Amino acid sequence: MKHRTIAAALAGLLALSLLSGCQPQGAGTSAAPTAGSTVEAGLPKQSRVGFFFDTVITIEAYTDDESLLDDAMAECQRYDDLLSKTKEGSDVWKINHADGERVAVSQDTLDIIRKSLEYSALSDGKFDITIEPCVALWDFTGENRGVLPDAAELAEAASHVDYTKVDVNDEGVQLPAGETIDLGAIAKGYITDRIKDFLVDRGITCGMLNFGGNVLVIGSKPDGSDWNIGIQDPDSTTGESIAVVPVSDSAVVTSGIYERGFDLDGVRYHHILDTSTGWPVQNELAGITILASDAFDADALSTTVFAMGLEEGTAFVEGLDGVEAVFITRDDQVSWTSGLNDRLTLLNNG
Amino acid sequence: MKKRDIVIIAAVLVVAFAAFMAANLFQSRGSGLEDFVYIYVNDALYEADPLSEDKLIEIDQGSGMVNHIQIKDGKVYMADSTCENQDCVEQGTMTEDNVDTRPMRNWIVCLPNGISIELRLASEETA
Repeated sequence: MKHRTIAAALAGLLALSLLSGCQPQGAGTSAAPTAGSTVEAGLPKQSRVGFFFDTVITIEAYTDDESLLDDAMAECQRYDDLLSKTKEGSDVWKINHADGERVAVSQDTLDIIRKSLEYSALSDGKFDITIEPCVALWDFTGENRGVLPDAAELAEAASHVDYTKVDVNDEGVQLPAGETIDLGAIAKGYITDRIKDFLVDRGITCGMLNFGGNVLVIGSKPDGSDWNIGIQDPDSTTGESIAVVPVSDSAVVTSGIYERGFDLDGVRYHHILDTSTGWPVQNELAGITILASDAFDADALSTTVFAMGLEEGTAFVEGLDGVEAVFITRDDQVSWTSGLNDRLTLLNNG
Repeated sequence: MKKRDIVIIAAVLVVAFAAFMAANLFQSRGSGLEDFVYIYVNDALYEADPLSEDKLIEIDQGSGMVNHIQIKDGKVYMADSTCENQDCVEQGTMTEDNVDTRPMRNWIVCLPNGISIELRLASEETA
């Protein structure tokens, strides 16, 4: 072998060793990258955290654009200002204070209300943004946490809950006087999707959004493998998962009776309200996790399917394309829809 | 193999080693070779510490809002917090090996006090 050949070979090796410094190191070295990972090698990970929509949101993405995630955070602020129930001048505030008049609102607000009404129809009213008068009588997190609302007042409020009275057209939104809306059950999901679109439109192919427990992953991990998402044990806030599911390009949203609620006289009062009575939904479920391609669907379905209960909810999700669910009952039984049979791994937490 | 070949091989190896060391130096703080703990107060980065160095971090925001974050033996956790719900303390410990099975993955968050802890793994720092 001539020395020139050897030198060339060694130079090649040197070049390769430098390039490989951009590849993820550590765990999973034997896992070969799978096709479909299009993230550009060498892009640095960036992350941001912010407090919006009464919760914490985190964004992680691989990009060399220093300002992109700050711009995404500014978008979150814009949506917070638009969809907050309590901020005077927000679209939702204006709708709830219109006293029967039609209110002109942004395209985003029209979209989110139209999609909400579709879910109301699909769920036969189990999901209903006009639940607001009932929500207003409950306090699951604040100073009056632990105090039950007056039963007669709650029944009166529940009598106003009726999504069919919401009139949306391109000129705006009109509610009968006395009716109000709360987008709490879907605003986070909607905004998560819009922030993902914002990032993907600007070239992000790999990242993770977590909006107060609503997880939305963009693409796969940089090495091409799926992101592992832990399904929260609804019985604890200890950061323990009851199962793990690998996902890519998917939303994972959990709803349960332990996240916002209180115990009184042996009864768990929680934030998922029965739209016909205004009282918390009481069935065999402690928590539910929905996997869907977008966060809006996952968010809306987590409330809807929870209200259906285990049997009806399982059948309902089995009938939906591209949607899966994990159910955890109050006596700690875990079950899931058939699409997760080969994907879900139960963890032994005892 | 001639003597000159050996010299060339040796030279290339020396250059490769030097380049490797230089790459290590360039990639220090939180960018590729060591796991780091990023701590945020509200939306701003407050400090970043290597997961390998034991440290107790106190964040006193006044008005009785105090959090202690402990980095110890390759683990990080919220040691205590003055918040009412104690969710952050109950979110437990993060290590290099458990982020894939935690519901909040590589984050611990104290919503009432606005404190967030992010574990940034060296293995995930670059695509």
